[in-house]
Amino acid sequence: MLSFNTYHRPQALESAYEILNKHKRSQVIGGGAFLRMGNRKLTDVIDLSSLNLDTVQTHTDQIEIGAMTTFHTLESGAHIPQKHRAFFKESLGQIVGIQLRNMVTVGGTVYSRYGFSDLNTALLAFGGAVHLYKSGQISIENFFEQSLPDRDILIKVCIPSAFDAASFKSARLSTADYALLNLAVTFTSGQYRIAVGARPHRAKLALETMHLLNSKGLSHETIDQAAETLAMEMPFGSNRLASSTYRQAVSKGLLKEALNSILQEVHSNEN
Amino acid sequence: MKIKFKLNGQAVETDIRPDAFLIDVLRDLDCLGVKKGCDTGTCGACTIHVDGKPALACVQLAAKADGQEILTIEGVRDQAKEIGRYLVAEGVEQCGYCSPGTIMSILYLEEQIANPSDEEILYYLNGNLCRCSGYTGQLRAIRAYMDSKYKEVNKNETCA
Repeated sequence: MLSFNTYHRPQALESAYEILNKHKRSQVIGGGAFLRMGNRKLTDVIDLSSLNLDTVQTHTDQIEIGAMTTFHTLESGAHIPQKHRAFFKESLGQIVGIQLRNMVTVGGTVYSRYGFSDLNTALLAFGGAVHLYKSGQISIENFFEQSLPDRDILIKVCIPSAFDAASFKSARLSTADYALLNLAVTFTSGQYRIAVGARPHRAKLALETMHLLNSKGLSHETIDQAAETLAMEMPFGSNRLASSTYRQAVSKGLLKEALNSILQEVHSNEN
Repeated sequence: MKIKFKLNGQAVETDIRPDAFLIDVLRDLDCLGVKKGCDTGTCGACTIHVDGKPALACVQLAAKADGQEILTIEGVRDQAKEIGRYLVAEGVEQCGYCSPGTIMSILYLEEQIANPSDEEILYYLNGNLCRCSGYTGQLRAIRAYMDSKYKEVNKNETCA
């Protein structure tokens, strides 16, 4: 159960930051979906809804996604480039239902660095950066690996505006459940990026597997090698959804599926 | 704290606890068609429209509704009755607990896509769980409802 005494909807980021740092048991709330399920007693909750952070802006080199942008906007917003929209639909479309995805925000999920998140894995595969109000810009991989900047506010996430092909795969015990493992691959100008999440820990880049594909290229042979490399390099853990051994085995299948999709997409782009 | 919002087209002002969730406030305002199912944002029984988009009343803080337009099943009685007839015709109105939320999702789908494929219906309805497991029948009912609406619109356009 979530309980708190005061709800704030500040009109300026500085006010939000002041409230956050004035009260020890205060918290910024995104969509609130995950907080709802926990058992938290707070004094103050800060809602960023009035700060125009729900916009997505496409530039030549990058797409700026405001922290209050919802998941459903990413998969359906007319102003999101079609190719990105399709990839987000593939990545986020299995999360409960549209009703929830209309509420869950990019900022809430990225800042919390939820291990189970499908979005965080997809964003890490793109690369790019998160922008925090006081700490400034941090690459998304560093943000997921470092300790969290203390009581800051995530303003936006920036991802590259161009990629050649991308694929997202996940394994679930049932439809709309949390993924027991997820994996995203992007292919941009000859370079592969592979992110694995729900391990069950937070999303992580598969650097050795990326190096293998970036040096040898993608073929039916290297797909098998990449799957073996991924299973060996990635640390997997156990939780109620799956054991580390199971995740390790599933990772090979997911990567093969994703790389085969990439191969097909690249071929169809060439034709 | 006080909040003001539009509920089914009517201006409402009410006192709430800062940490109240919208579902409880709406039910206190006699919108009893907003059902409390899982209460964790999973089942879709509490589906409402917030500023024209489907949302979960059990997840949304009531304080956030200040200034918003909220539509519940009580605000769409005629459409709900019509869709209900299709659900009954397919024998999928069993316990009926999920129906209000499901109907709110069907209405949103209808606004978005005039003639949806079965795949699109499933995509839009994925967030509405039915304990009686009437999914196949629900799909038939929604298919029949959408087809009839599509024919109705096209017939009117042809006549015009």
